[in-house]
Amino acid sequence: MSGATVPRPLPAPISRTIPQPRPSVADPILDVRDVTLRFGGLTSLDGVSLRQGRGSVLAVIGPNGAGKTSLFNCLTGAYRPQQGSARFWPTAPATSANPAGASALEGVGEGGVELVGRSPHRVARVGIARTFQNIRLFPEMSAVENVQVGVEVRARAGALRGLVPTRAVRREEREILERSHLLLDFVGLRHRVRWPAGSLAYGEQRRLEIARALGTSPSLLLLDEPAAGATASERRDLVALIRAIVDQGVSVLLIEHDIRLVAAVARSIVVLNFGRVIATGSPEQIRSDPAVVEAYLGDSDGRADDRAGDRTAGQAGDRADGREGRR
Amino acid sequence: MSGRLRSLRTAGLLAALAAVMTGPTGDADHPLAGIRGSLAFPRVLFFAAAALVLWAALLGRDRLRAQARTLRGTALGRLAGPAGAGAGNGNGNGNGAGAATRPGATWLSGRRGAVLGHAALLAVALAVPPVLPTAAQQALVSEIGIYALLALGLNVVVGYAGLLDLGYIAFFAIGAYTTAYLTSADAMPWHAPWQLNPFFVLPIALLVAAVAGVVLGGPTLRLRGDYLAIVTLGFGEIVQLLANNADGVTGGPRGVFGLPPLSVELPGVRYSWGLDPLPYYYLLIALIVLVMVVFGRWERSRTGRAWTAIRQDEVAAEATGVATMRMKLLAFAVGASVSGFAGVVVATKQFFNPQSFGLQASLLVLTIVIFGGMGSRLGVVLGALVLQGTAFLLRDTVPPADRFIYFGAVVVLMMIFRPEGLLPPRAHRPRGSGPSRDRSVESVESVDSDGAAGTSRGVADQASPGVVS
Repeated sequence: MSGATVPRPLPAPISRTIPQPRPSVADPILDVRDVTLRFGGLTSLDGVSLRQGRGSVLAVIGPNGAGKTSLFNCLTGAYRPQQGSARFWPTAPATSANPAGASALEGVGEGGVELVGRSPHRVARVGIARTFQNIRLFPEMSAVENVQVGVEVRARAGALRGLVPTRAVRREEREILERSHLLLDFVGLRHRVRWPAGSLAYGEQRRLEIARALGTSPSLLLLDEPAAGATASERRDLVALIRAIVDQGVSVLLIEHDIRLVAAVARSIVVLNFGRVIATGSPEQIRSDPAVVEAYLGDSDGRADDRAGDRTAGQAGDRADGREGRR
Repeated sequence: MSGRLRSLRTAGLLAALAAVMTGPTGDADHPLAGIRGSLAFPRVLFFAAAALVLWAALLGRDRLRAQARTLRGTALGRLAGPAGAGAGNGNGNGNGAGAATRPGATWLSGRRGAVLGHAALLAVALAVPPVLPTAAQQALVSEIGIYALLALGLNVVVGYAGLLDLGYIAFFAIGAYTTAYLTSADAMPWHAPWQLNPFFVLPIALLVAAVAGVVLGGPTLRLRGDYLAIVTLGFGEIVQLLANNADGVTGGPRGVFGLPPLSVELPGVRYSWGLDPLPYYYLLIALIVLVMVVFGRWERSRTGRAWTAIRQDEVAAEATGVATMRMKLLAFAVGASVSGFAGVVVATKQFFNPQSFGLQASLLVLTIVIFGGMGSRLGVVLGALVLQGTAFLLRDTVPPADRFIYFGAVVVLMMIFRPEGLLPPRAHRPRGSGPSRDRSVESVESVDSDGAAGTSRGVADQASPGVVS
């Protein structure tokens, strides 16, 4: 089942198609400046700055504990950094005919939206979706219900209006369900629609999490180690999936250990170590950067690469075991 | 083999429990006399026989179930035949072709079965009480009906949103005291300058309780799990202590009595609920059905999914764009408002005092919700019926001090043999995960409930002549 996952076109959001932008750093989607995050005396992020062009894939790599996930948490509102700013320019209102979406996007001007200080759900509404390093699905809900929760972020009917099944409400529900099915199709989980999310295989859960994130019609998708624990063929599928997502005009910010996977999808890479950006550049530049080689890849390129791969696989295995144990 | 032994053990234990429950009671000097008397010679034969019958039933259960399944399968096969032929006439919603009709039909009949089941239960609930003795009617109102309503409200908070609220009964108290304040000039020292018909108090109490829910929830819903439970526990205590000690406002421990009963005074229609329990019972049934219908709609909507998402992983829900704080507040307010409803009924029906709103009552409602099946509307109503009904039946045979032993035993047995509750919600029941289903069927299934009902009627119309002939 991990085999032929041919990504289909990403379905359009409920109301309108996203205009397709051209990638360019001059037209940024995300501009992080000088973000510093401390926990007591421990500095997790130390003046991190990065800039991502619209429609591009940017990878954040770094050894364990470098602050990659902390950076994600700062961008998505889970943590509030002590200093710095993160501005974000959504790709048009995510669904322009949608008052709920539009109101969340009010005041998006030249300066973009400030992400620091927003609560996580408001970050999601402005157009940033994420996945988690240790998969966080709604395990007892079915696959399609998981995606529905994401799609419904753009829905119009509130709690009280949804109570009365008028024609408009019902039509919207049908649209939501249809889009959820299309998204499951897109990530190759068509055959798992009714399965409880918790009963899916590990790789399928990862893909379901991506589908749920895409359900919120994001303009920027944050993937936290999407290939952890994946087999070689699952990695190939993932590369194809990420490319298909980018083709639809969604920018991707990616945390990943697997250098080969990163090089396959990202044209630029930011390397973090001890909470600082130690290098930025193309995959080739990063591979030959002495600071990176020393901090992350180890003594020699090829061997260390494999080792890094093994390491992530091992961790993922541990985590999977942990999940089993808790049930 | 071990399964059979286990069934025998279960049957034996249940029979012994029944023997002790119905037998004579001991006293402080001879604590074991009751048990010995319960298992004395002629009685013990009867219960041993009962245990054997139960054992046989437990053993035969699987076979019966299998038979029922095959029977149902053939019936459905017959149903699906004409329906499949009918779909070609363009009678259905055009969405599903012949291939889609078959799985659709099985599902539709499942839903139709559920509707029929609910209707049958409602019919029983409407028809049976008038023939019961007054004491039982009384219990149906003040023990079962009220608690079913309360459990439905708490079910939203605990079952849907997964928030443990141990002070839930406080909203019940708020509803009751609001009624007293608004409807009577002399029941409490403190009262409104004008008196309202209790019916007008229903929406007011609903609003007041909902506001109280938001006031309590606003600052406390940031807490999770155990912390929230402790804070709500404290809130419940505060409300009870206030009611008890603010003599000048609530009348204190004396309680509140003499409120006017519910009455309708319209031109042409004049009716008073009076002191008879039966009218109150039907009012409660109406309220319970109303609440169940509204919550059923909610459960399947965006709101219900958001609550489930919060319950299962709050961090992920928030990151997926669910306004978790707002949804949790909504759950609190909704749960509280149902409790406020119950408060109005209780206040107009009977005497109440602060003792009625103690921690024990909160825990009782929570027990009913867990016992009935968290997240299942019909489950919690049945839970109220079974638990409170048991308590009522034990009233004559078991001294008050011992009653909770049996109550506890029932709950413990339930948790051992069926931890998901009497009637768990649909999502928790094992579902057939058929390999690949047609998508159009899926979309009809979960969204278009009205359209689906229409189709089901179509299937029934076409099917019935086929079955009859």
